[in-house]
Amino acid sequence: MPLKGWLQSSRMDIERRGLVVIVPLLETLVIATEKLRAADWNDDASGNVPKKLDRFLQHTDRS
Amino acid sequence: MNDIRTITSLAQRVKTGDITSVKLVEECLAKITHDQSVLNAFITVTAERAREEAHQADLEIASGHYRGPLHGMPISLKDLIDVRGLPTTAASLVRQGHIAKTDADIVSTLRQAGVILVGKCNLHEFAFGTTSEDSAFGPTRNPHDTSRSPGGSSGGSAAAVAAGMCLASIGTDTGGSIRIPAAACGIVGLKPTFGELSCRGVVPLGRTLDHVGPLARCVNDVWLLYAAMVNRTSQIPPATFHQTKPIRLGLLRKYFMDRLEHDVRTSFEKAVKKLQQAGTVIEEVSLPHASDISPVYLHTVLPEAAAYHARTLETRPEAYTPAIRERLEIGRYILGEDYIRAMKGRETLRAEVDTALRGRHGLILPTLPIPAPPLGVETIQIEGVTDTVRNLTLRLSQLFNLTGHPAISLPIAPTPSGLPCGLQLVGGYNRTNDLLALSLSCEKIFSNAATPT
Repeated sequence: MPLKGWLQSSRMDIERRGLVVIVPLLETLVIATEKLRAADWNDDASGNVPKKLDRFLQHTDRS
Repeated sequence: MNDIRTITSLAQRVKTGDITSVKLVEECLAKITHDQSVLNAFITVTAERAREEAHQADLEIASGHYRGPLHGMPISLKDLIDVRGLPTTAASLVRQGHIAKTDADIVSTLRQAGVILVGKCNLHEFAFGTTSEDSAFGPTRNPHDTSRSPGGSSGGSAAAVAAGMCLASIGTDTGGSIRIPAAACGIVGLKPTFGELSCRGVVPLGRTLDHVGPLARCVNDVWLLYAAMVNRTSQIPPATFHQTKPIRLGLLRKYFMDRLEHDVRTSFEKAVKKLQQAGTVIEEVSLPHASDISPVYLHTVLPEAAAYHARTLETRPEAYTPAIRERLEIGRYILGEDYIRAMKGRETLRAEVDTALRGRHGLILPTLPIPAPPLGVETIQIEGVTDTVRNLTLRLSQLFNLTGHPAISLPIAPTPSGLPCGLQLVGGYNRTNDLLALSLSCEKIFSNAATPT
């Protein structure tokens, strides 16, 4: 779900449930979600993996 | 304050009958009676049961049935852990009326080792906080400075051990909840490798992040409890680290030391220098995705906690303290796709920690960027940046819940105002024993654990 739509519908539901006190927490969370979604480890259905991450993962293992 | 009593220093005396379990238990109960009204470290004190069990232990030992160094030793448990016949309150009114039908797995193994349970300790409600302030039983206070928090969520456990109300305690750690209070109270706290110790019979917070582990006054005590809980009591304690080779540690500076309170930085740098003077090789290492740790942690712990609490959030929301209810509610708005992104992020972070450990015996970093925070304070300013106490206290510990690597907090020199500081060592995955051996060596080098007066 796109971030903007998620934020909007979450806020509406929070207000409907009378939990406006958690709106500031939601606003903090959205910043974290934005950062999470921007991370270079995220999948891309086109099959393209960011080169930097691909190189790193090829050279790591759990011994 | 009593002299520094450890299980390690008392075990031989108990074995030979020089001191009895009954005496140790009575001393702890006297300390509880004296300090509980101020520290509020316990929710349940099992005085009569402890006296009976100690008497039985003394009879067993006298008749030649000594079970090992934990036999007859008074310990406590975080009140998130089931003990048959006792309530597991999780410091919440939500659990009112609950009585555990069976012992948690780790309680069974500890009983086999002969420990005596003196009581169950206060905590941050449902372990969902790092100050032990939000509790249906009132806040716990730090024995070093009662105007301050003991850290959390295993705050009652750490306060009880530091104050001598018990010789050790068992806590849980989902983002740092053993290591944070250990650092804030000047004791040792171990989070083993993920999955090593059973969490059956322990109220969960985040099932993929939860760990059980010991808090005690020295590394060897922590090792004894850990070994008992994984049923490895037949092994000898880990010998002091490789004498012939220098210890090699990776220092996590970038991101991890960007935001440290001045006195904590000074204390930590002194500890690093002490290690170097003792021949330890310390090289700086960094994790490329360190700044993503907090978003990954939030998108893991919040929905996992919300899932466990969903039913009672609907039926008994008023039974939660407001801050915990709000935190749990926000977790219900996290999307499945973002939880999956966080899982992918954990894989990346795990690989980066493995890489940083390669060719080294461990990683080193402070446990907490601040000393024990004053009770009631919600934000703290460090070097011009204001952040919440929750963010700051989790900042250096939560990574190893995401990756599952074993991590331990050791006490180092206190701040000039006498507040404890902790240093964190991180070991290889499934190498908790090696981490404990490394910790024994480092403890010898520091040998200046802070104790309340």
